[in-house]
Amino acid sequence: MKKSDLIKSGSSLKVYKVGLKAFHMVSTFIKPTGRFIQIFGHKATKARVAVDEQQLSTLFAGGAIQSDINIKKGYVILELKGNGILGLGFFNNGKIRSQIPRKEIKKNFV
Amino acid sequence: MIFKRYQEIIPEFSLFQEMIRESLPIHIRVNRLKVEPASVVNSLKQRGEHIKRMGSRDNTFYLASGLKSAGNIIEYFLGFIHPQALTSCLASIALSPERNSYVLDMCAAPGGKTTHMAELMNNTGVIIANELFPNRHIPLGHTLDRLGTLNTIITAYQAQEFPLREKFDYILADVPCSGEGRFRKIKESKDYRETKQMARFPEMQKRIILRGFDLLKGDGEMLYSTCTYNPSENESVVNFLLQKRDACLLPIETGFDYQPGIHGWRNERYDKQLGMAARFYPHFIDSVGFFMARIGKRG
Repeated sequence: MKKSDLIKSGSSLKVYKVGLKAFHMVSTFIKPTGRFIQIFGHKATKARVAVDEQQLSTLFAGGAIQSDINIKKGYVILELKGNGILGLGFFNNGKIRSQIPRKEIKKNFV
Repeated sequence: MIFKRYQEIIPEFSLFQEMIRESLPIHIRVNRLKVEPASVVNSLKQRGEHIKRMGSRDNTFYLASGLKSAGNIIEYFLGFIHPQALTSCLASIALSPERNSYVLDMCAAPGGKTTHMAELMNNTGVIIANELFPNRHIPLGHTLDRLGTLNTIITAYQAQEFPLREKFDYILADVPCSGEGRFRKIKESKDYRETKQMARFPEMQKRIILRGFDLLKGDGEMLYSTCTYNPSENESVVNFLLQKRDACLLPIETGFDYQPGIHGWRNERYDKQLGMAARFYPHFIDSVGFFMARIGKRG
């Protein structure tokens, strides 16, 4: 898309926002955005964690879930079994916490 | 009686009066950029929701009669669905931008129609989503991101002064209007009343439709739409364009029945082509009242 003629046409305009933000820097981590992960997360071959509704309730309540995922420390992709990619979690010391913004979580999600 | 002045142009007016006192049904559009409609429908039905498909041509529009707030379910968060009035969805269908085309949405916020066009284009080509007011850019951006729209550029020009540097294959001019067609939706919060601002809409709408037409490529198409019954904001504006430019009206196909545009209102007579415009009334389609005209260049 970046090289398309249509984008060159659009570049002559005063632009507020283009496409979808994919990454941003958080401390030393390059953090994918949640919306980017919702679209492209299914292409990831590692750091994907499928959670059930009970685990999701725990995460949404601000709690942590145990995981034996084979990575050291960092962001993981949270996937609701049978329902697609939810967004990001953070794995550290064997536990995952949700990185999904609280304001976007509604009480009847689960 | 409200809208009494439209008694002569709205067919089956007593039914219309009854319908606008009923609450507006909740319609959802399934976002095929992220999910197949059958998957969402099955999921909602398993949770006991009453979901009914609307129309036979497209499998993405559903009546969700039991859903109290579509914005609070997980399918909304995941970008699988978008709550949108059925008639609002039909605007993008009437325009039907082809894949890889260059599209301008002149008044894009809150983004329902923009994201629908992106879905129809399968995220190819480019859509310029123009919205003048900065406070509307954030919700517009959220809608685009949530629904996985990748082919969109947000700009902030006055629609009627959008730069003439580029020409577009398709233009959606869903213009600011008096919003009479949404009366069912807003009646609980405030009673409908005519305001001085409403009288100013036609002038602005005429400037927008002219600019939109001037931004079209030779074989381009524009859809002019409003959510009002007022002929001064509908047929009169399109008639103004027909008088000022080499424009012609094109047939509208949405898969839903509509009433043709009218040929006159009060002391004004309109071009015969206005019969090709579409008026959607709540007592026929049970949604927001809507007007649309599909416009091309003559010759």
